[in-house]
Amino acid sequence: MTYTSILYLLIFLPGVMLFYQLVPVRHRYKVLLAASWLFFLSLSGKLIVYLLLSTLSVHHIGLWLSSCKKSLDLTGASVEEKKSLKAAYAAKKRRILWFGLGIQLGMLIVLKYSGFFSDNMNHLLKAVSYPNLLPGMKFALPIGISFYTLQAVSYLVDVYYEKIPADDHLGRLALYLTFFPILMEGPICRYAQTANALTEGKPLEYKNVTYGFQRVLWGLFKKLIIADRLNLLVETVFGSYKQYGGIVVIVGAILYTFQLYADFSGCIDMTIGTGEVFGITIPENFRQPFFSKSPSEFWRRWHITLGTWLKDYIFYPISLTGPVKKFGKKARTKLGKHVGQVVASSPALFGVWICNGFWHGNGWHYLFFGMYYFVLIMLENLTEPYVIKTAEAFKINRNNLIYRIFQSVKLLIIVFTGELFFRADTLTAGFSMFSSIFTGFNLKALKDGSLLHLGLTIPDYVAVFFGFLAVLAVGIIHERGISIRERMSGLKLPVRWTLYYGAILLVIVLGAYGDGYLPVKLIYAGF
Amino acid sequence: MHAGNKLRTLSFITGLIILLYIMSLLFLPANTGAEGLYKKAGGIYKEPKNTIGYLSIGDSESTTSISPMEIWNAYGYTGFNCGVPGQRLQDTYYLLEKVLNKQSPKVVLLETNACFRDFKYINALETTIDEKTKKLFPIYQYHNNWRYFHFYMLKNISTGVADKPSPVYKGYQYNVINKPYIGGPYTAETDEVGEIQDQPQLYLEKINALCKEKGIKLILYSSPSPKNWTYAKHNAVKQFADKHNLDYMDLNLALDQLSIDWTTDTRDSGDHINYYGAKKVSAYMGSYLSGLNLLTDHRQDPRFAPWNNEFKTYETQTRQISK
Repeated sequence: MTYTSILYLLIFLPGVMLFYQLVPVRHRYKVLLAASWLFFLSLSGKLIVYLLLSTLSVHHIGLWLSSCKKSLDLTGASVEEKKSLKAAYAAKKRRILWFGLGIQLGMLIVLKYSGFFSDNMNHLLKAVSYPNLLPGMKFALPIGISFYTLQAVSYLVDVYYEKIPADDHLGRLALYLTFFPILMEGPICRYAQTANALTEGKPLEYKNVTYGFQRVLWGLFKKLIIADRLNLLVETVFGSYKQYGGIVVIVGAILYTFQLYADFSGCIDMTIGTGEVFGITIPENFRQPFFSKSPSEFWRRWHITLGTWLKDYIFYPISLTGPVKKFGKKARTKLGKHVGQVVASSPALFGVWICNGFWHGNGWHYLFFGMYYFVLIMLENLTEPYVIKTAEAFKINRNNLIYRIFQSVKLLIIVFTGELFFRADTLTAGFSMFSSIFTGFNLKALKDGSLLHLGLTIPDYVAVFFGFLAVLAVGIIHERGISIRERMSGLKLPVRWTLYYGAILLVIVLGAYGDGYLPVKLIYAGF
Repeated sequence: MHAGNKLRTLSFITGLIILLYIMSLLFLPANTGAEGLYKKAGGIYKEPKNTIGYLSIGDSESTTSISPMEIWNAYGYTGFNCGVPGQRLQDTYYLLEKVLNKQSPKVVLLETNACFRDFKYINALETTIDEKTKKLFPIYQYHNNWRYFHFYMLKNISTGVADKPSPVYKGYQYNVINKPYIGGPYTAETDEVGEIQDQPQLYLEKINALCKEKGIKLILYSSPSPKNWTYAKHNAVKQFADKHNLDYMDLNLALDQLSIDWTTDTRDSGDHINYYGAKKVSAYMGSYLSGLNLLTDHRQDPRFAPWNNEFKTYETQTRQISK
C-alpha cells in the first residue's frame, strides 16, 4: 500500500477519516496512531520492532534529560560547589544525549550502511592481499527509517538545548515520529511544528477536507502523469547506459531530474494535503526549485526540511566546536575577511554535504553527489563578490532578463549533471555516462527516432509535455505569491466542480499505471 | 461539518460516480479500437477455441522467459504465455481453470518461482480492491486507451467494432533492457531443501490435479534467475516433481546448454532474462516440446495464418529495437 494505491485512496484514507471523526476528541490521536502503525505494518511488517524501539528510547531519553535537570539542586551550595555541580550536570546531560543519539543513529548506521562499510573494507583488504574478514551484511530496512531517525535526533537535541520540553505523552511522540502521511518520504518535521496539532483532535472541516484533497489530487497529477511515465525512459537509459551516449544520455538526465521532482514533490503534496484534511500543518518541502539562480538557492528551495535540518544539527554544531572556531579565526586573519570567512565555513559545510550525500544512500555516487555540491557552493561563495564587481565593471545589470536566463541555464546544467551521477547505479556508471555525452554526441538521435525507442511513445511525450506545462504554470503563479486554491474557492460552484471533475478525470485517464506500465515505487521512500 | 456541506460532499461524490460510469463507456476497448493493449492480460480469452497447444503459466519469470512467437517460428507450435508479474500460485490456478474452459492444451509449462512467494494478506486485499474498482469503473482499467481515441470512436460505440488490435506476441513480455548480472556462479550444489509454504503447496497440488484430470502433461520449469533461484529451492521443486512423477526442467542448471551470457541476457541484474535470454530459453524449450511429440506444427495450416502475420510484426519489432 502506497499513497497512490487504490487501497490507500479509496479505503484506507476515507476509513481513517471516518473513524477519526466518530471517536471522541481525546481519542482521535489514537486513531491516527493506529492507522500509522497499520500503514507501517503493511509496508515493513515485523520491522516495526525497530520503529517501536526507536520511539520508546526517544521517549525515555527525553524524559531522562528532563529529569536530569530537575535533579540539579543548587540550593545552599557555594559558588565553587555550584560551578562543579553545573559542570557535572552538563557532562551527565551530554552523556545522556550521546547515548540517545547513539541508539537512533546506531540503528540507522547498522541497518543502512553496514553492508557498504563491510563491502568496502573487504575490497580494501583484498587490495592488500588479505582475505575477506568481514561477512557481507545486508539488512532489511524499515520504511522511512532515514526520515524518522532525523526527526528523533532533532527532538533529542532540542530537548537537550531546552528549546522544547521533554514530552511525557508517549502516544504524541510516537505519532510525531510515524504519522502515516510523512512516513514514506517525509518531510522531516520538527516536534514543535506538528506534535501538538497531531493530538489536538480537530474535527474534520469542509474547507480543510476540500483543500486537502485538492492538494492530494495535485500530487497524484505530478506523480502519475509525469513521474511514473518518465520512469519508462529513465529506466531504459540508466538501465542500459552502455548502449547510449550523447543526446540520449542528456535527455535521460534531464527527464530523470523532472521525474525525481514530480515524484518527490508530488508525494509531498499528497502528504501535506492529507495533513490538511486532519487540520495538521505539515511544513513545505519545495518552493519552485528550478526558478533558483544558484546551487545554494536551489538547495534552499529543494528538500527544504532536509536542508534546514542539516543547517541546524550539522552546520551550526560543527561551526561552534572549539577547533573549528580556532580554524576560522586563523583563516580570517591570514586570508582576509571574505576568503577567510568562506574558508572558515568550509569544515561545517563539508560536514553538511557529506551527510547530505550519505543520507541519500550507501553508494560512492551519493557521496560524490554531496561533494559535487560542496565544491560548487564553496566556489559560489568564493567568487560571489568578484562576479558582482565584474558585472559592475562591464555595466551588466544582474537583474535583466538575459542575465537571469543565463543564470537559470547555468543552474539547470549543474542540477542535471548532479542528478545524472545521483541516479547512476554506481560512480563508475555515472562517469561512463557523463563521458559518453561528449564521446557519443550526435545530432542524428534527434532525427532518426532514437528517442521513440526508449520506452516512451509520442502520446507519452505529449502527456508529459502538457503535464510539465501545468507544473510550470502553477510554479510561476506560486512564485508571484498568488494562492490558486483561494482563487478557485471564489469561483461559482458549477465552474469549480467542473474543474475538479476535469482534474480527477485527467489523473485517472492520463496516469501511467495499469496495463503497459510497471508500478513505480516512490523514489525517496528508498533513501 | 455542517449539514449543507455534508450534502454538497455527497452530491459531489455522486456526480463523480456517474461521470466515471459514463466515461467508462468511452474507454472500453470495443469503442476505442485499442483491444490489443489488453490482450497481454486477458488475450488468451480472445484466442479461438481449442487452438492453443501449450500454455506457459507463472509469475514474471514466466512472462519474460518464453516467447511463443519464437517457438511458432521454429516449430509451428501454438502457445500462449499466461504469466502475470507478481502472481501468486492461487491466482495462477484460478487463471488456468478459467483458460481450460476454452482451450485444451496438451502441455502446461509451470514456472516455479511463484512456489516460493510468501502470502501476504495486504497484497491480496490490494489486488481484490483493484479488481473490484476495475469492474465498477472500467475507465480505471482501460484508461490507457486515450491514446487510441480517434474520429470514429463514437461510431464504434454504436456498432461495437474494434479495429486494428495491436499485437501482444501471445503474452510474452518483450524487453531489451540490459543490466548485467555480475555476481558470478550461483549454482553450487547443496543438500538443503527449501520450503514451499502451505498455500503455494496446496495450489501446486491443485494445478497438478487439474492437469491430470484434463489429460494435460504438466512440466515444471525454473527460468534462469540468479537473483531468485537457489539450489535449496531446486531441491524442493525436485522433491515435488519426483513425488508426483512430473518432468522438472531447471534451466539454471543448463546455463551452458542454453549459452546464457549474464552480461547481455538479463534486464535487471539477474532477476529476469531479457529478450536475448528469452530467445535462448524459447529455442531450448521448443526443442524439448518437439521431443515430446505431443504438439502439432500448424505453420502451413491456413486456419493459423494470423499467427504468421503476428510473427511478421514481432520480427519487425525485434529486429528494429534490438539491432
